[in-house]
Amino acid sequence: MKEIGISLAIILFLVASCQKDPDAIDPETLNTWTYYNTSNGLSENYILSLFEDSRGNIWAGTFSQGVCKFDGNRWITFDMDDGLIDITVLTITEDIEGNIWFGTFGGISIFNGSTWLNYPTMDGYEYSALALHSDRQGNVWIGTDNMGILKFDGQSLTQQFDMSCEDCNYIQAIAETKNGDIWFGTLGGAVKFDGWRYTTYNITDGLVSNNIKSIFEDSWGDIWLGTGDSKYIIKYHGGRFHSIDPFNDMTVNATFAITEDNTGDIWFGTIANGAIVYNGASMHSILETQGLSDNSVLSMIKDTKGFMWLGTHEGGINKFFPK
Amino acid sequence: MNKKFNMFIRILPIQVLLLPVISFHAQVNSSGQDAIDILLNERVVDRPVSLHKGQLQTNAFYTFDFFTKSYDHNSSRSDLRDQGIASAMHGYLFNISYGILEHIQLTVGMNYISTSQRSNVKYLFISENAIHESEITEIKGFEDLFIGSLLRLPLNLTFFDIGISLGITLPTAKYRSEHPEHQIESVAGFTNSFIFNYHNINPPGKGVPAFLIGIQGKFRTSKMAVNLRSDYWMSNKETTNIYWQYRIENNEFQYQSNEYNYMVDDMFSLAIHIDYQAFAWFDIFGGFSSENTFGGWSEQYGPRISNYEISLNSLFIGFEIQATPHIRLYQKVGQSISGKSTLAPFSFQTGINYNLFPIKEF
Repeated sequence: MKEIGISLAIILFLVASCQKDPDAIDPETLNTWTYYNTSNGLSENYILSLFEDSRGNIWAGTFSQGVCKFDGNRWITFDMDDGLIDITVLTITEDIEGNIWFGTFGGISIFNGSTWLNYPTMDGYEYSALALHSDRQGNVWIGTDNMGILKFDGQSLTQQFDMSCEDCNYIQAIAETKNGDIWFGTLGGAVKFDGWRYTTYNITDGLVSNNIKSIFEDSWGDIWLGTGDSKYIIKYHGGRFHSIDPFNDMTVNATFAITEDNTGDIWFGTIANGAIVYNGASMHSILETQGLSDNSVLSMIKDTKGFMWLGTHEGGINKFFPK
Repeated sequence: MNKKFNMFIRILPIQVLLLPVISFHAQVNSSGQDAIDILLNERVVDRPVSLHKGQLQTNAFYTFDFFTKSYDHNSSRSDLRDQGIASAMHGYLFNISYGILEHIQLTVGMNYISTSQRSNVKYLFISENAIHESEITEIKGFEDLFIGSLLRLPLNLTFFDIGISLGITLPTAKYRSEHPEHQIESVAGFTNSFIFNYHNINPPGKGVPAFLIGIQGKFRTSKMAVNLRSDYWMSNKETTNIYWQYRIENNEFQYQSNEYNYMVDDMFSLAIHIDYQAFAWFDIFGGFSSENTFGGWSEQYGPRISNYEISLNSLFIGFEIQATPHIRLYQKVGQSISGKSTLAPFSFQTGINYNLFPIKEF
């Protein structure tokens, strides 16, 4: 009888010890903020751009110290000594061949993992690459400060320059929608390219500001636009632009970054007012008091695992898993 | 006369249902009837862990859990009443057991539960609007069907008894989250004040079979008995559920659903309770129970994330009254004393069980 009891107890213990999936993420590890800054590998705490490449590396473009790559374990910095064209990395993307493109005030650098190709001029003109986007067709779109929109299809470069609107050639943001439209945020409003023609929307079409700093299409098909000079967040829904004032007791001066997390909430990175999270019905802000290292969020991505990465003005990078 | 006739008509369906039982019962001879009476009146401390051969037992319980406290992931306890989110759960438990042999008992059972748990009460100010958010998660419906057996080891010891439980719950119950019923209400008298009521509806089914292996033992003296029971529920089949996203457009909630994979938790429970037979018809008991769930995961938020391990430890006391040879009344109250990642209920359970030997031959 004693043997039976001991045997059953051992069986129960062994069964109870079985892990169904030892690779599943421990939820305890998801409730905390992870901070990356100069104390643990970043070259600078002023983060202008973030990007995850197809290999799972996170790239962080800084204001004055080049770009940092995080392979999951450590940060590696690339600067002008390594071949980068400029110290200020404003935007990052990856082309269809796996090359990483860096947009800077001094032009574009393309890195294939070992060598750098730099493009300081286009057709003999100096330019800044303020926004980059690699679309599903394999084109790389370049938003410049003075040359309008450039499209590189892998072989040739084409330019879209708006002669009637000088500010429309200052391209600050590029986003692609699910139906293949490419949207551009400019100083002269929002520009949509539907594959055939470019259409410009400005304050006469209902935009609260012509200074469009960020663009993002969410999983519902709504297009969100962040401005560079107003407290409003703009939603393009049903063919109309709707201006949303997130908090009536708070002034959002600019929305630099927009993305959607895995729960469907939309995150807005703002200057001085942290990250604003919209859950579909209401908004709340995440500030330093909630764990953010700095209230100015300049760049933001969701990685393939669902983590949110927030690049800040003075606080480096904040990594958080929303649920 | 008319009153008696009305009464007869009212209980006629019950009479029809019980007719086979009554007729079988009537066929048992007088010595058999004596033996049955002895078994039906068996004291709590004397009963074996399984039913006797031929014994049919019907259990019906009502449970009321009142959740005024909760334990967080670090086992810290907080008061839900302070947050305005106390809740209650009603459970209606029903099972039928039958002793097919003196050492083997079969059980079939199904529970119905109903609870509305409030959470996330917030006050927000957005644009010119004041918003009160409140979230209710409703869990309501039948749980999965349980079929189980209890095998009592033929030890023939008067002071000790041990049995092994084997069982399965079949995924008969609804388990996929239903379409939410969120609502927007205007606050009367305040032009820019709104109440957002988030109403989630989650049926209580698991969606997959779960298997039970357990052990229970009983040490007894003439007046007391110590009962030990340990169960392990496991399920290794993943399935899918729905996660509902919502958005307000034109003052109405719109929804879109996303499917995700999940694996239900395993559960390990341990209970010890001590019976004291105060009278032949009255037993008082008290004890300790512990439940732990673990091993499950969900991909609702993208990557595969383990569920929080849940534990709940409780103390309970209660009594059982042998009201008639067939009817036993049962009451129990329990209070959680520690836990992790769960609500902490004060629970009340009342029940009745009906016993008979419908086809036993002596």
